Amino acid sequence: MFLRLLSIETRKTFKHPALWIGIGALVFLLASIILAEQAQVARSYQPANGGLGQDMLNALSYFSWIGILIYAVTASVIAAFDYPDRSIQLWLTRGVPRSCLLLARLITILFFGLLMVILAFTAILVLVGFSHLIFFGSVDASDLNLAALLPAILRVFWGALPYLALTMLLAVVSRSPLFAAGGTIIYGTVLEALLVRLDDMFPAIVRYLPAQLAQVLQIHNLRIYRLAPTLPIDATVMPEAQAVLAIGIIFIVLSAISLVIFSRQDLGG
Amino acid sequence: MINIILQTTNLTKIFGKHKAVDAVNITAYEGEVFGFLGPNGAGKTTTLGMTLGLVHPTAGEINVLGELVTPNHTHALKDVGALLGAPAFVPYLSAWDNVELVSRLSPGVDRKRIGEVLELVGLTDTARKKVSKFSTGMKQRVGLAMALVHRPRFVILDEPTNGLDPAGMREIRQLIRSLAENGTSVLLSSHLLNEVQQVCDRIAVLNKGRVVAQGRVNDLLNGSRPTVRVSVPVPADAARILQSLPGVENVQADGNSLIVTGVESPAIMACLLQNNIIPTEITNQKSSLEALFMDVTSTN
Repeated sequence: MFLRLLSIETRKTFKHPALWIGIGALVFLLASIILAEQAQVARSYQPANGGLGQDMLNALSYFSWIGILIYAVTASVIAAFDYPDRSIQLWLTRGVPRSCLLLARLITILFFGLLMVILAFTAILVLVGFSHLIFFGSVDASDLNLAALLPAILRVFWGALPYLALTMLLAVVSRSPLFAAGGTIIYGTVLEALLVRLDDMFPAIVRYLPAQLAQVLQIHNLRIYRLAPTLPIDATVMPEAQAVLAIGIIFIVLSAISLVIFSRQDLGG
Repeated sequence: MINIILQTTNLTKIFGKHKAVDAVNITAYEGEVFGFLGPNGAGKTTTLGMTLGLVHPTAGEINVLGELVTPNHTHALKDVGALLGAPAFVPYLSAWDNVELVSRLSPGVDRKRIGEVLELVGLTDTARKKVSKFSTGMKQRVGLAMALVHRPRFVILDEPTNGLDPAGMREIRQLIRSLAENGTSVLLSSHLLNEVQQVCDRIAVLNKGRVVAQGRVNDLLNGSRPTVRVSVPVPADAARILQSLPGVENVQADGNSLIVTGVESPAIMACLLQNNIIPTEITNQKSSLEALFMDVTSTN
C-alpha cells in the first residue's frame, strides 16, 4: 500500500503544472541574477571575477533565499492542492490510513525537495559556465572542487528540511495551497530575518532558527571553491553535526504535529 | 444468511452546539440497493462522511462489511467505492489518468478494467481529455468510474445523477440495478425520490439528524396514511369543516382542491355532504415516496 501511495504521489506531483512553473521560475531567477552579474563584470572591462568555483559560490548565496520560494511551492503542490478540490477524499475513502498518506507525502516532499536542489546546482553550474563563455570567451573550471559538490548538495537539501516541514504543517492546518506556500515564504524571508535580530536577547533560541542552522552548513560549502583557505572554523560556530541533528529534530517535530492534526481533522463534505 | 453490509449504532455527530446527526441506527444488507433520503441539512452527507472515515463521530459506531470503521481504522473501506457529493478528482489529469491513479490502490486492476469501467460510464471517447474541461455530468461519470474501477463489494453513491441528462439518469439507474443483481451492495443517497422509488429495495429517511422512517419501500408505502384529493366549490369552507373531522391529520389547499391526509374518501364524502358541500371530484392519492417523504419529514 505504502509503495503504491508513493507512486501515486510522485506521478501526481510530476504532472502538476505548478511544479513546472516553479522550476521555470527557479531557472529564470537564477539566470537573470547570474547573467546580470556577469554582464556587469564584463561591462567594467575586468576579467572574470574568478573561475567557475568562486562564481558558483556567489550564485549559491542567492539560492539561499530563492530556495525558500521553491521549497514552499514544491511542498504546497504535494501537500495542499488536493484540499480545495477534495481529491484527498479519493485516497481516504479507499481505506488509505491517514498516517500512511501523510508519510507518503512527506517522503514525496523530501524527494522533490532534493530534486530541486540538484536542479538548482545544475542550473547554476550551467548558467555560470554559459555566462563565462558569452562574456569572457572561456570557462575556467580550475578552481571548482567537484568532489565537494555532492556534500554541498546534501547540505543545502538538509538545510531546506524545516521549510518543507513547515509548508506541510501549514497545508494541513489551513487546507490552502496559498496559505501553505505564502506562510512559509513570509516566515523564511521576513519573520526569520526579524527573529535573527533578537540574537542579543535570545541567543540560545536564535542560533537554532532554521536559517541559522542552514548557515552553519553553508560555511562548509566554501570548499566548492578549491582556493578557499582551509577553514579555521570560529569556535563560536555550532559544529556541523549539531546543526544537522537540530535540523533533523525540527523536521521530525513539525512532521509529528502535522500528523496529529491530520489524524483528528474532519474532512467530509 | 444475509450479511449486513453497513450498520450504524447510535451514530452521533455534534459540531459545536449543533447536533447534525442524532443517534442514527441504520442497517443495509448485502446485495440490496439501500436508499438514504432526507431534506437539505438533514445530516445525510455527515452520516456518509462518518461511514467513509472522513468525519470523526462524536458517539456511536459504524460497521462496514463486518469491520469497525473510524477515521483512523479504515481497512474495511478497501472494498468500498464511493461518490460523495460533487466528485473528487485530480483536475489537471485526464479521465483515464484519474481512474488509473485511483486503481493503483488496488492490486489486480489492469488497463483492461480501466477501459471497461470508462466504457460503462460512457467516457471512452473523452478518456484522454483533462477532467477540468468536463461538464458537470461528465465529471460525475468520472467520479462513478473511480468508485467502481476496483470492483467494490459495497458502493456508496451520493446524488450520482447530478448534472446528467434524462438518458444519463436512466443509464445510472440501470447501472445501479445491475450492480445489485451482480452482488454489489449499493447505498444511494438522492433527492430524486422517483429515482429512489424505482431503484431501491429499502430506504431510511433522515430528518434533522434523526431516522424518521426505515424499511422496505413497499412496506413503508403500504403503511402510509391515506391521502385523498377533493375538489370543492369553496375550498376554505370545506377545509374548515374537514379539519374538525376525527382522524384527519392534515388538510392542505392545492388550487381549488384540498389534499386531506388521515382518513379514507368515504368518511370525507359523508362529512362534506352532511354540511351541504358537494365535491366535484374526489380521488384517492396513490402512495408515493414523495408523499411519504413529505409526510414523515413534516410531522417530525
